[in-house]
Amino acid sequence: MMYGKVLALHNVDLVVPPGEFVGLIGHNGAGKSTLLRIVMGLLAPDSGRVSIAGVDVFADPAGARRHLGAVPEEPAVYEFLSAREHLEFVAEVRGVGDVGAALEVADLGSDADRPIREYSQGMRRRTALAAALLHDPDLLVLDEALNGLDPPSAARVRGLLRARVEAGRSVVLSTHVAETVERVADRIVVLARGRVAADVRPGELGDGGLDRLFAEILAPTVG
Amino acid sequence: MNVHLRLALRRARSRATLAEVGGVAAACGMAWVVGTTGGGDASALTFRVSTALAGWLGLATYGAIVRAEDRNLLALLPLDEAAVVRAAVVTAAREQLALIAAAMVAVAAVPDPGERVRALGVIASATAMGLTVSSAVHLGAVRLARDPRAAALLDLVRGQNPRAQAAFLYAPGVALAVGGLALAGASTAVGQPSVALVVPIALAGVAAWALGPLSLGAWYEASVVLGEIDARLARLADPLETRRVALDWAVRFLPPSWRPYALRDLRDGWRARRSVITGAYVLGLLAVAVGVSQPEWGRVATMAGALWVAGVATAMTTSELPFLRATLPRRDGVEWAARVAVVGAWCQPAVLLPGVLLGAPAALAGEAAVSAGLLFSAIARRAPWRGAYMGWAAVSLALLTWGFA
Repeated sequence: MMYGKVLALHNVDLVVPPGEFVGLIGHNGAGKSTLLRIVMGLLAPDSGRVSIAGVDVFADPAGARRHLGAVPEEPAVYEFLSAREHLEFVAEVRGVGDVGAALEVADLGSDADRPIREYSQGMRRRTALAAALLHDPDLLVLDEALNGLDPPSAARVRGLLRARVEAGRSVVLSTHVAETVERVADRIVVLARGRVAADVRPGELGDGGLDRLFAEILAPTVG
Repeated sequence: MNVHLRLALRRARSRATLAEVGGVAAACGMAWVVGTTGGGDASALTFRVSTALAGWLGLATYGAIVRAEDRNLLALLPLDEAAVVRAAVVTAAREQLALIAAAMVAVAAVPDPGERVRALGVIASATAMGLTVSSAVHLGAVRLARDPRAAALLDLVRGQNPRAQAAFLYAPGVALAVGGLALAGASTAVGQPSVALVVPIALAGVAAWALGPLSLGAWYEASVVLGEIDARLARLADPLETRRVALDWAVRFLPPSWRPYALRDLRDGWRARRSVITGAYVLGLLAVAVGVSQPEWGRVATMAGALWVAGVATAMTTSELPFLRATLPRRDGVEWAARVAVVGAWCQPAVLLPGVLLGAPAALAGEAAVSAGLLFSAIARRAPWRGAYMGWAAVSLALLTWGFA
């Protein structure tokens, strides 16, 4: 994937099996968001293919999205609707009946009936996450999704994501915070200059953990 | 009613305000004044109003379908793309309600009852056609933007824009050209009823039918195209790409000694006077709009447009920046010849577009005006010459207008 003369991604080959939580980490501009936007079908690679649950993202965009839940870096919600109305809209598009469970995920209490334009960043993010989980997707993709959440909410979302993985679903979470990934991921993929610089299990990290690995890989590329 | 349409109506309710109602009323009031003062020729009035309406609706559908504010949200969902496009068309219509109402009011001032009914019918057809034909063209542009077979053509016309954007840039013009021809016939039929009256609504029907098949795959693909455009715009950090301007590909056809000067003028002129250069298309279309009902005034408008754009040559000579003067060796004859080639090319939309409608004499008169404007630049050397040029052009046009009157 090229942005003009800038190589945004090169030779990235990533398979996420069911029941695995992949943490995607890298410095700003490493290619994390570009990779996730390709997985979401919002950018096309110059070569190669992307499939979700065996469905090609670009050949059958609607079909692939039936298996995908996604929360982009900027959560997209209808500001003129309440969270309840927003979730009902997404549920109808996805052919899901009940939004009760999603409202619990959003954890908005009585605020669920206020217009979203009055929400804080964290509340919007929780609403977007609830919408992404409505249809129990095979793959959940989160781009910096824990940003803007207060510590209790972030802990609750981490627990929610772990529970999904235990239930056999897959999660890909991109972040630049090493601690978040180390705490929840089964597998850590480090991107640097658009390439996979490391693909390890947290147990393989050794002394110094991810911080040390991160520093070793990224030190020559920064600056 | 599909869920997207319900959402569009819900959004409309959330935005309806007293100010908006006031805006509709004000637009209608102004339109009534325009209609009653300029409505002597019902066909001409109908053509102008309906063309402006269809053109504006074409731009509105681009915003509603391709650059929709909720695209980032919807693009992550499994959609019925045809339903999304239908809802987008309704959204565009709703958001331009004031303009549609004003257009109706403008032609409602036509005094003859029969003509008034036919004019209202043409405006209704223009509304339907502006919404549907342009939507179909925008969806076609999405496919064209990613079609490798169209790459060479898009590179030819894209100027310094990303290749994918070239298809979008020309789509409103294509829709307006198709619609404008249909509306010209229908507007003529306002005064003398004929089958041309139903052509716009028939076109709208065909386009509405085609929206479903055209939207399949294209609505999602638009997100990819927009992603490519945004990524390519990042290339503007690349100095070579930054220097790309419209028509720079044509420099290779000029004599070698002219090329550096022509390229300098293309780049400097485009950056400093882009609005006049692209405005040549607007001037050409205006001359067409005037010329449909009154050919003699169309010729005057053609010459006015030609003189206006040709004036860029004088403006470039009299206000050339010192660093531009220093970049290349002084060669008066060659420099002027290159400038004539460049500015002459910029003038062509203002001349050739009306020339298609008004015929060879109008095009030749326009080219004569261009030549006169370019010749003037040969003697212009200092700033006061710009004023002299404007005065000379104004007097020429005034004499021409007086002659017609």
